[in-house]
Amino acid sequence: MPVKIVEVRNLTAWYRDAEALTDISLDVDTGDYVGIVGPNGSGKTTFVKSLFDLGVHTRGEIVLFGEPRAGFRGFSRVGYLPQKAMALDARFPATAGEIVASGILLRKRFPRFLSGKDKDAIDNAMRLMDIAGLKARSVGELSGGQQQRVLLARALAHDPQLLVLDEPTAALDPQSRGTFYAMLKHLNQAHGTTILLVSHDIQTVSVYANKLMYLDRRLVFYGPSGDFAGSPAMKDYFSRQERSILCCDH
Amino acid sequence: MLRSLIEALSFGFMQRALWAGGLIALTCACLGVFLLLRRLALIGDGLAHVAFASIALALVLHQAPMMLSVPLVAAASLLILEISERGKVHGDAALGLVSSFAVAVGVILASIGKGFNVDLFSYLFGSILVVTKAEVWAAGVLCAAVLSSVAVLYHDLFALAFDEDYARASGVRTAVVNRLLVVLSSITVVLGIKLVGTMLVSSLIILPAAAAFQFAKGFGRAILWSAIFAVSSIVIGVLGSYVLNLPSGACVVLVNFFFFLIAFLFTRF
Repeated sequence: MPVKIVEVRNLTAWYRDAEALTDISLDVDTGDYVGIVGPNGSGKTTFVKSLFDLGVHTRGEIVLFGEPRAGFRGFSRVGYLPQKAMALDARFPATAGEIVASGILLRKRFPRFLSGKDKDAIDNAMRLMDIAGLKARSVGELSGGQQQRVLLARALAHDPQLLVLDEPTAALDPQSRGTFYAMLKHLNQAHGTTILLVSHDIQTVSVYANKLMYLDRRLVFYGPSGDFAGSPAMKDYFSRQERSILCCDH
Repeated sequence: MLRSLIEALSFGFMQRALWAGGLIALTCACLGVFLLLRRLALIGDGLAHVAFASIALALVLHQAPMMLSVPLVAAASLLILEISERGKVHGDAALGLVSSFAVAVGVILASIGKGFNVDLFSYLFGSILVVTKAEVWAAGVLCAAVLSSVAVLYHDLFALAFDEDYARASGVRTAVVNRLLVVLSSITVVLGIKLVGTMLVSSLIILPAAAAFQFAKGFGRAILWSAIFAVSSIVIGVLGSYVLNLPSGACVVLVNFFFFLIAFLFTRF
């Protein structure tokens, strides 16, 4: 029986005093690759922020790795890429290597020093994101796509069991997106990493993710990607034409 | 000139000024890097206004100004955070709100205690050359406390400055670290007042870090350069003020600004 990584029960969330999500209940199991999709303002980012208590007022129950969110301390098992990461401060005086290293250092106990193994992990994550040559460069000097790769490397460097990515491909060019999705699929299949990925690109995500979560302030659909187009909920929600456009691969 | 400098260094008051100044400037420079990146650069200015009121209160009550100022300014820094987090106003407005209230209180207290206006004036512009041995030790202990806190929290502060959401999702207790940062800043501001006064203390926080940001590649290097600029400005400013017979606090700030100007021009031409 698969172990539950995320359990959400009757989650209602408010963002800036407005109700952004209503009564969401779902489980994410070990090894799931969940694409979180939905229109603008549907509560995708609010859902992710709710998981980590990031300035979102919530009601309901959230359990991560079997621990209630309020007392959760297993942050070494989680990798996170925030949505706003694309708009990072170009004047911030840090090198790409320092940013990636922070992903590991924050999860270590005091005194926090990088071991040889940690340095290898940083190099591997940067190599994986094809930014090994940018380690000593200031993040402010990098392009938007390169900055995004640095932040992705930071999310991956400590080899998390759960990877939560909010619009990770927004600043990547089409070729890099393909490589990135293939890399995530490899992490999911070869390492068993559980992935929650927020995206507007429902066609691409439904190809790679084994589950889809369609939000529109409520949970419209949650289940295997292959069942998405034919599900009764989606038939009620979309017209036949919209379904054929959205889910042409199914 | 060299003779004047050697002569200056032989005086006890000058040695004390350099020790106390160097330690306080070092602390301001380290915290300044984090405060500027958190867009809290003007917190030094706001807290200095609070310190003005607390010094006036101490003079009215015949208490040691610095001893009373540390807890009062620390409390005010926490109040600023609370207002900005819960009061539906941004941090700069919360800062303005608390600091203007404090200045008003300070002015009223100064008006009540007419006899101490001369003392209060010395805190406006600092009096580094009359630092006592006990004050050097007090500065040393407080600076050590602030710098060791920064060293312990270095990675948390770095993450908080770069991306607060990521820091929180990585287990950093951002509310605690934020509060600690402003409390450490308030201790540093109170110490800095002895050096350059309430009018100029924020420059010790802003200028060395701003100069370092012009060219430093890497966070560790930015802190290192900020510290080098800050300590150098104390040595050059204090000794220069002695040779040229000018106010030492203002000289320190001018040297700091000169460093910023060089760094700014150096990276552009």
